[in-house]
Amino acid sequence: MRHCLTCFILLLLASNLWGQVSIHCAPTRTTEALSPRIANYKIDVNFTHEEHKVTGSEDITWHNVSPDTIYFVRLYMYLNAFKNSQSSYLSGAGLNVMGQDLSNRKPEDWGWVSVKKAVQQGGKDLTRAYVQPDDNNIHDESVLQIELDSPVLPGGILNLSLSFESKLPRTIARSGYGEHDFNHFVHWYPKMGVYEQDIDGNWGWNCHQFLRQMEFYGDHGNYDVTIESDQKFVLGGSGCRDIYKETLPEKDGRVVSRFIAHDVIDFGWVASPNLLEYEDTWEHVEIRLLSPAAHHNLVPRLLQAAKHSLSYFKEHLGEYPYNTLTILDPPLHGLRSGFMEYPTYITGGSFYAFPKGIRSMESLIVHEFSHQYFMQILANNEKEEPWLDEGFVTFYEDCIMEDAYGDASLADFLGYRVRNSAFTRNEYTSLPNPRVSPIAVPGWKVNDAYKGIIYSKTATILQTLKRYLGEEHFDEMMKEYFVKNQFTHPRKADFVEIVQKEFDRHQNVLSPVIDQFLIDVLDDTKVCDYAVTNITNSIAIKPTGWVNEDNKDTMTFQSYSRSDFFQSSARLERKGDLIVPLEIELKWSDGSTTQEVWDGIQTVFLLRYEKPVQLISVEIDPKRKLFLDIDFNNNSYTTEPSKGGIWKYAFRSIYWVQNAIQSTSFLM
Amino acid sequence: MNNLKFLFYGFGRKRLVTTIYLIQLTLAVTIGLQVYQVIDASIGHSVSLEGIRLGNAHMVINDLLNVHGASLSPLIGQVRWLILTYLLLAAFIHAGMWYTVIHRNERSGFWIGGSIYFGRCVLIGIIFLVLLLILSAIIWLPFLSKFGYWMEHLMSEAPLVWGIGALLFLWSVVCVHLFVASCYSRIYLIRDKMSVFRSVLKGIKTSVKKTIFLLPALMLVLFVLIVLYALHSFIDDWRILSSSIGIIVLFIIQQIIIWIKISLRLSTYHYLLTKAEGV
Repeated sequence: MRHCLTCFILLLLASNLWGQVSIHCAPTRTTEALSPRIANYKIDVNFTHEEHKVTGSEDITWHNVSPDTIYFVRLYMYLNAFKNSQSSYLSGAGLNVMGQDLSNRKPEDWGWVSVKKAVQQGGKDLTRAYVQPDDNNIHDESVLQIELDSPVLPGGILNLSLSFESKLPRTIARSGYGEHDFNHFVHWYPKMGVYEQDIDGNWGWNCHQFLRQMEFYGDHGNYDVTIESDQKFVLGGSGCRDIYKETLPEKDGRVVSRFIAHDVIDFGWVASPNLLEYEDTWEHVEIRLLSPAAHHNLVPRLLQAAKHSLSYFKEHLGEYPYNTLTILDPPLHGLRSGFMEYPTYITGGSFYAFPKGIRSMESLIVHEFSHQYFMQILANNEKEEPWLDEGFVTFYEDCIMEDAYGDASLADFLGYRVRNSAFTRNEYTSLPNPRVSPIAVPGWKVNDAYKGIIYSKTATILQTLKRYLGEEHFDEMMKEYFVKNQFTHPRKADFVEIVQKEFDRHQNVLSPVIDQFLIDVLDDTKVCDYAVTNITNSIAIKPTGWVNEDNKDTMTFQSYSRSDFFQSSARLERKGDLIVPLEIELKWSDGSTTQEVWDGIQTVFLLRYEKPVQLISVEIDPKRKLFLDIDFNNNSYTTEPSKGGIWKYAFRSIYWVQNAIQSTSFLM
Repeated sequence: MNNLKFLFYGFGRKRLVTTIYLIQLTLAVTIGLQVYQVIDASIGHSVSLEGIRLGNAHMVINDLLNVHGASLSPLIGQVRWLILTYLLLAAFIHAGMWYTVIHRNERSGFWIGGSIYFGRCVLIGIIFLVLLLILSAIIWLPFLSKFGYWMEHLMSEAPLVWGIGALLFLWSVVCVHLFVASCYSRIYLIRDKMSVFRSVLKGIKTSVKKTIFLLPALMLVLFVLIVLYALHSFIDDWRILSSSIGIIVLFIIQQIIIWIKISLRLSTYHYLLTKAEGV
């Protein structure tokens, strides 16, 4: 009997321990919670690769941090965007999406996610239906609304248990499968929307349908994901590997893996039998690179880019708080899954025999890693304010690349040298219409030039702010923004407030107009273009005629004579509609330089001088602080131009034309 | 060393090489001067010019193209027409070169040969261009048509890279054969007074038979051309050549390279002729 009692107590303890989460790996640097951990997931799935499908359970623990009582919840069901051509993501696009013809898709090429059962705290199967809060497209199934049995009171916790099934599509955009058993599971499970205050202060579900020019948005939380799969697969994804490919004795050839991710907004993973694992460390971070064998030579380049990013962020923004970083360098047949970011897991894009002098693949790794800060730690709404992540990430990508690889950071190949920030600026300045859209708008409202506006213009604005503040103060500003907003959902106002404060603290030419500047560049489509259009120098003439001497009544006649002075003038023009105070540098014939400040308001502004020396050149913004100016060439005017540069290009064109006619006529 | 001697044949025909060089220069200068004018009119008074002189040109050129691209784009169209026009002119020039080489008449042979054989050489040129077009399509089209499929289905891109390399090699072999065939066609046309079609057919036959034996010499010419190209790329990078005098020196070097390339062509013609004896 005593034995039975002992057994009973042991069983009880065991069952209690079973219910508890015991973790063997450490996903973050600290054991304390970094985020409010609002949406937490325990997912247990069985992956059947023959069908590219997972089935399993998902236990969601969601905290109601609002003052509202919650009667229903909304979940993202984004795999349904690839269920058929009627989804809002695919409809209206014709059947050619991202260069893929979808008209000849086989039944197994489409994908979906479905909730088989939803239960609240052990109750009955809950009523649920797809809703379309954005476009009323009744065929779209990317948002699921579940009516709750018992409402969740303010401060209360919702425990929701789902049985679900996710079938991957043949990859259209990132999530999906490719040849040779390549499976990429991203946005693959039912995921909670965000219950938050909108810009007007009203609480509600922020859970947009999956539309084309749109990314993702979620609350921070913990993920405990267990995956049963065939043993042939190499698995990688968000978080740390608590268990990796542990054999299941009862199931032949099947293994189980468990991933733990804390304080993250999402969870993505990859399964492929054709990936090699490379491991490296940077301080506390274990870096795991999954790469195909053909890319073996590229591995050091990719790892170096990742490690340099970690160092740069530590010095200039804040330390990476996670212990792991997984990088997927997709094989050719999985390339459509590349170029993307997920918490502690990024996907790149490289190519066999990629020339060393072209560093676009390093730049890509840096870009996607930077998303760990902007989108993941600072979890802005990527749908409504994409510039807060993509723009910031592009800016940091440029900074990190230039810090790591110098002046020709992006390309140094066959005499062609390109700097990242110059390339980014050109993506904006070369837009056919740089006024096509403001920056601070939801992604789906940017009709054209999404990259040029959201990524590049934002990065160019940040580059401008950095150049006005100087690196030290800019870093100080960004660190404050980071510390204040980490593990929250920052918005435009949070950033603007910090910028205003920093420009107030460290006065410079832009400080007096910083409020208007931010409105103009973020909410408006104003374009900046200042120019110096002319310089004249003429000999000054002494007063001629009857002249009163020293304000006395006596007049003396002075005949025409030249003075020793020159009358110099420069004509400056504001060609754009963005108004910015400007620093101007003037060079004189004696080699001296003087500085002026122009408020930049007038459309034409004349500088006039009478000096014993001639004005040689005038340059607006000589230090190129105003990186937003769309034409640097017209920022200056000199009376002694260096024509050597023009001759160099004229001679070069002669040489290349001679080569062209010689080569093309080899058979004539 | 004796084998290398053929390379220097062209250097001894300075008058002829210089004549051809001047024709090419005159045509190219029409573009070069316009490039000068357009850049000068667009940013001729900008301090940025200093940047392009020193080689920091990326941002300057980008802004130039963004703002004044419309002024530069007609020049690209003009280059296309210039190349087409030169294709005709090249038939005259190459006929003249062949006549000079065959009849050892440098003084007036160039103009006589060009005038007499211009029409027939144009025809030969067109035939070989069409052949090149057909053979290029045969080599590349099947590969390109499958490229998209392979991108999605291949385990790795390495076979694609090697495949492109192999096809490039094959295509180069075809080009070499066509070049040799077109040269022999002209030899048969001018030396043996054959008809156009007979000389083309015999030229192709000779090429098939002889190219393998001519390959070392042709490879040597190709090697010299690559060295010249690499040399130019290397020198072009030198900061010392960004001064006013340096820019002129660079131009002179560029023109010497062009001159050498013409003389190499003449040397190659002479070499092929010597190997055609008895064919």
